[in-house]
Amino acid sequence: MIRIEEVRFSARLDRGSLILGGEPHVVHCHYYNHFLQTSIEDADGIYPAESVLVGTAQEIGHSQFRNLFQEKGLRDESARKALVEAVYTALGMGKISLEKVRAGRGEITTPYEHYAYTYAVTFPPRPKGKRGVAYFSQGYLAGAIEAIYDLPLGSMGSRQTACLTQGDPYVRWEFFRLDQPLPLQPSVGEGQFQTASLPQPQDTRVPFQPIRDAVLGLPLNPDPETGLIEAFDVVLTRLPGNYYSLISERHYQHMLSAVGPDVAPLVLDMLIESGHVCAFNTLGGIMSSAEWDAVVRPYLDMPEDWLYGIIAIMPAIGWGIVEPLRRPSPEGWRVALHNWYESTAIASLPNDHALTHSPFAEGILNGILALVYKAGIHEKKLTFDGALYKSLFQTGRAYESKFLQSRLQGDTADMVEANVLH
Amino acid sequence: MSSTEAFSVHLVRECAHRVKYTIDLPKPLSLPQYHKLAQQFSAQLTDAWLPDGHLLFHLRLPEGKGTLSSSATTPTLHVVLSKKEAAALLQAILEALQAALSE
Repeated sequence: MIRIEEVRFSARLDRGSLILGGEPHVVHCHYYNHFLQTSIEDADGIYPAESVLVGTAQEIGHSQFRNLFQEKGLRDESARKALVEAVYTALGMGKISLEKVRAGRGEITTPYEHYAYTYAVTFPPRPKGKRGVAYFSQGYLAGAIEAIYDLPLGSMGSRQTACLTQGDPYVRWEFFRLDQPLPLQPSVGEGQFQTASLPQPQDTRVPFQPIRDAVLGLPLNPDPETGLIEAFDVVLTRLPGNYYSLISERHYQHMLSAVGPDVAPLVLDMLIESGHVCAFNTLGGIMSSAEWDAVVRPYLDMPEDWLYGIIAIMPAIGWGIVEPLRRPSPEGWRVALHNWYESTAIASLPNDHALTHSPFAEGILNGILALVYKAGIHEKKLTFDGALYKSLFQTGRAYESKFLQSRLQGDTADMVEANVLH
Repeated sequence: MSSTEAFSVHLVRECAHRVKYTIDLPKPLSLPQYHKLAQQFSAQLTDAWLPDGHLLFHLRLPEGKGTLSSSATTPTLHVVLSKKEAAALLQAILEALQAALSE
């Protein structure tokens, strides 16, 4: 039996990444997970969005578990299954048993799956008859099953047959061998990663390295019963960052192909908004937590320190290293992104890519500036709800960002600048 | 003054099946006060030293009803409660805090 505590993410300090089985992992919350997934899922009438959401996860699951089995020298079926179950929970995805999985066929049932569970208890009821929301698990587990039985990538098909969002008391997936393999590609893994030193701005008392190290040491442990990670007022996951990056890129590519270039601003805006939502919920949750009080708050003298504090945390949640290029102000901010996980994944694709910069980074930068300079998180207690979001952004975002340099356009670095709009 | 008016209570977020509040206390709770709260609520008390030397206290209420957490040096208590029982639990916590701090 492999215990969850034995699943260890390796922190690569010079990259700001957390590696497990050759895959960089990033911390996100259920609000971001659902916003991004729903943005893509809504395009299902335009192109088969399920193939992007499930297929990308299958690629990553297959590559990651092949690496892990090799690293640990696991050849035995039961040991491999135990590792998959433990990793799945360590990611904060919930609890599963692979007991009913065999080489050619299988079924997994669980009452606790991150996407389904958080959707069912957070959002309005999903229309009856719509498929379940557990896309990532479906693909990731299909890839894991292929790896357990040394099957080629794309040889297992899958479908979700029950979901909490449809009134079922559990989530269930079926897995089966395909006559024709799916056209999937191995994961890009750590891809074209960059290295950088952790910055330490001289105009603040916020100590970047101790904060990063303290957050790396936080016990973000899944609940023993549910396998879900409840922290910072949200439900967190530690999923492979390549999943988020590649579903964004592939969604954008599909939309451009299906609709044409006129759709580009609309799709990009949704991807930027997903980052904005993430800043508001994941990062806002962190900035309102006991952990923030303990680790960061003692150093917060000025509003700008809140921004320094939150970017000091980013390497510890696997996003990469953010370097301030000038002091932030209500007018805006300019930063360099080193090994930003979205850029690294997309730059590593073997063929061409459609995104020319990281829309997620744009949304994050816009969002954290708004949290400080518009919402005033540094001077008053906020209630993070739809009313606050609406009051702040009903006339649009408060900040707009643009990439001054982009690795996705051939530059050696990512440099992004946010400017106030209103 | 009712016990609920003794401290400043702020709703931070309603999330999934949880509700998060912060309770501002006059001063940080001491370790004996944490122990007393743990005993009163049959809760599990854990502490975690962070690499930078800060101490975090966590009180886990039984049956998944929620958690109370705080830095040892700040007077803000972060309270995450099960949505279904949040109102009653919050009231009980406030009364317990008032009793603990008035001793």
